Amino acid sequence: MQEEKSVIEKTMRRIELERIRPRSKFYFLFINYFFWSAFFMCCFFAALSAGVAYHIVLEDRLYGVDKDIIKNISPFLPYFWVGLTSLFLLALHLVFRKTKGGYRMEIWLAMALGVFFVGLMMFAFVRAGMAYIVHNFFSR
Amino acid sequence: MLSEQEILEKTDQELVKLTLKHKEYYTFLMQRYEHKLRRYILRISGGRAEDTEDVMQEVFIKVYKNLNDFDTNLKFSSWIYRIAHNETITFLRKINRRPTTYNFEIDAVRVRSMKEDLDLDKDFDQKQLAGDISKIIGGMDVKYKQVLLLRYMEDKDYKEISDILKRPPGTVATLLRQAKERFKKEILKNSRLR
Repeated sequence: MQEEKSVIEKTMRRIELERIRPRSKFYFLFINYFFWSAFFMCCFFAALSAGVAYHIVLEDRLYGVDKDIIKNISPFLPYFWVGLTSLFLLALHLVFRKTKGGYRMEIWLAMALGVFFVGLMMFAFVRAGMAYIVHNFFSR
Repeated sequence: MLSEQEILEKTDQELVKLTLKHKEYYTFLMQRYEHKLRRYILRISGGRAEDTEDVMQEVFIKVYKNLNDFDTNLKFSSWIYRIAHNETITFLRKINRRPTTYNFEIDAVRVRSMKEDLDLDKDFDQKQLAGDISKIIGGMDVKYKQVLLLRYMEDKDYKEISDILKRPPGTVATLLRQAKERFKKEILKNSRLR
């Protein structure tokens, strides 16, 4: 019983001596927003790089090419952009796991939803011409 | 300051709110979890009593510092167990030691419930099972050991285990199923050897 008391007492004494205070609510709010912002940034950049890859393959390199060639598409793949998309998708997944409650979603579901939303945004970027602009910028 | 009786009637969440206003209430919150956490830390680390004291103090300090981060969607017990779990793992890493086997006492009710849950033969010797449980669990891979301890020794349900270990509930269910299978295999092997 004496020992039990002492841990509590020691803790209270340490709180007193080191003037420990609970961290402010805003600190945790900031951390939470930080992860969600990182999540949306990863989403944005994953979609953009996927959009550029899509644009390069289907609207640039394969433009006017006999569609049979698609069977052997590997020489036409923009590996840099595909790699970048994969990196951002991985970061997206890791950041999502760091958000409050992110761990509750099954890994496969989180991955599938991530890919789905990035895919949707990718088409939006391609249609809006953003992928073309980014590709042109980096081609220069 | 509220009376002891009034404090006893308060939920953990209410005590957290009170602690944020007056730190003196933190003593009561610590008292509620002291026994449970000490037992849990000892079980997962297999450490010495002095080490457990140090870890517990760190846990209580960390909990106090992070009280504003307590998510009311969680049970307070899940949150404090999570901190205790992480702190124990960090401590073991710091002293560069793997969790070891720790022979813990198990009461008859738990042994019976484990026997039923594992679908063991009715004639299976309960005393023998009680003697083997801590040895087998202690020797298991950490990922299996922690889910078995939380499920059977700390009486946590799947959701609580998921919140403590920060793993999806489906993953917890899979881990627990695999852990039970391994445990059953070991226990049957032990009984055959006798």
